[in-house]
Amino acid sequence: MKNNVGIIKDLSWSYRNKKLFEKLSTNFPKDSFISIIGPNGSGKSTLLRHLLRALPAARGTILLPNGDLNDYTQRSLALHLSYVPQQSKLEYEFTVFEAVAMGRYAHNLPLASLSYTDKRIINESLDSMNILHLANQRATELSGGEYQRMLIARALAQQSSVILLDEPVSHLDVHNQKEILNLLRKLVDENRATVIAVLHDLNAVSAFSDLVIMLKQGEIVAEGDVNTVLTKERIEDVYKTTVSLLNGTNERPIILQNWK
Amino acid sequence: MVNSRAVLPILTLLIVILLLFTITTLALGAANIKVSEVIKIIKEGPSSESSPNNKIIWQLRFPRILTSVVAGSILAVSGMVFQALFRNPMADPYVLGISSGGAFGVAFGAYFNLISAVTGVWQIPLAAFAGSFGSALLILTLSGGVRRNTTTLLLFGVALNFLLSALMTLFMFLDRSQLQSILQWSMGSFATSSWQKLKVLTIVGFLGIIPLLFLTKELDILLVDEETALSLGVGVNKVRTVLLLCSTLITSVTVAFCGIIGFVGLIVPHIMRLIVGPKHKHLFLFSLFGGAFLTLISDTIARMAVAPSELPVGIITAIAGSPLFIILLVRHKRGSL
Repeated sequence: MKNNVGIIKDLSWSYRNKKLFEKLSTNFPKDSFISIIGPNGSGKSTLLRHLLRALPAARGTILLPNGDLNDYTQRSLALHLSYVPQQSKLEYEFTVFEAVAMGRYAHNLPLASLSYTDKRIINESLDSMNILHLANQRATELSGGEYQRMLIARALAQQSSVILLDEPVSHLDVHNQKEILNLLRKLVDENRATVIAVLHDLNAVSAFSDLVIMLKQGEIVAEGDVNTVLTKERIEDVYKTTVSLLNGTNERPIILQNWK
Repeated sequence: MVNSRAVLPILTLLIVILLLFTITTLALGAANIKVSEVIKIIKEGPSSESSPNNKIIWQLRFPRILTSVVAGSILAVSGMVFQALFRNPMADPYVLGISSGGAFGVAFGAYFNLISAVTGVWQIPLAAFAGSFGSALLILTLSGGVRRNTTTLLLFGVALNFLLSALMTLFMFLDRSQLQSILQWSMGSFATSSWQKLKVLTIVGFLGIIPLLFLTKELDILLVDEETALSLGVGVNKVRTVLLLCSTLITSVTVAFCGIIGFVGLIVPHIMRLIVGPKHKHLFLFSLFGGAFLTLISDTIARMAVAPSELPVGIITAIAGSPLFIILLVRHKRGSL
């Protein structure tokens, strides 16, 4: 456990009598950028949801630094894991600051107001995501990229050691994709958090990941660094498409899909 | 939206206005009693060999006005909770059929002689709670799979309201001696208020509202998606259960004594959100007082508009609330909620 933020052992899980995971096991090493990839329906988001305990208990064990996931209270789990959903609509007109302040929930007592420390952490989180200037703006008025940064800032304000992200950049333009993935990479490089992200863009996966977990129909078909996992044969087999691979920066592959 | 520093002064002002308004409304009614005399009678206290005016104030108007204040506070807070619970700005105990469930529970109990006139002061709220809770469970089960779809949830509520009002009409039809009382429940009235009922309403209201006061942060967080709420540390299922139980309890006790007073839970939180913003810590307190205001004003109109006769208070709140509901629906359709 020492160098891991989480270990999954023999996780089996079915949905509506359909098996998705059958004895799935993997480790999440500390201070890494871990990408979970695979075609639609391969179980990427479901795996994240198991880590969050958002799904009914499955067979198998999920170990976190303080023991079994099931022994964690919801609050203590929040101190270890935070989560950034793919898209999240916030009802009503909360300000960006108020939305990010929700990240301090697990740190505070029921009726307690935000302390100076809380406010400092919230502002630092906003600053890390380059949206401190938007603190008093209504969250509903943000652009897609700004909104996603706000969600990540909320996860940062939680000060958890792991941030889970479900397709954090799928609906963003290329500029925002690059900005946000670089900000996440920076968090890992500064040892501020371990990032576990479900990603679709294989080139982004290649450029940013330390470890890639590739799923196909609920099974881990490959796991390792980008060059081990992102091979032509494996991508073509798992995604049922044809690709060409080029050599990119730092020996990381660039994947070109044959669109015809 | 006001600055958070202005919240306390505004709240204090609201409380003062509410107090003044309560005293003023004590003077209003079929019998003409001046405000100065009202103050004198309040100081006098209820006395046995008292004047007719003393009886009017202490036995009729005071319990009635206080009941409207307590019921309004309860309904507004309850609406606020339902809106967060279902992540739906149009949810309120009336719209979702929770209030009708309570009224049905009482009508059912009365029809099958489960409620006696002697012990009714506790049995009526129990029957109402059973009915409201049944409705709440039904709505919750039906909406489980469609939690993200606002319109479907509302349609379930409307359908449930249709069904329950049909069943209540059936009870009225089968037992005409109950007609007047069931009719009263279905339209809402503070006319039968008494100190005894007010006591029960206040005790139950207090018991149901206190836990909610400790859950204001959770109410904020429930407005995000479920996975995020869990990841932020909120035990979503536990919190939802407590919220549902408390808000259903306080709604049902209001229905038991005052009947169905619709839209208070819809109107008040919406107006208050415009003033203090969406954070439940402030919204909670403002809804308490806003609700009190709304029902107090509505009841005063109900008493005065066609004096010496009076209107059911539910009609006044429905006239005020229905247009807002339509506006919200239109805005929702445009995706601007």
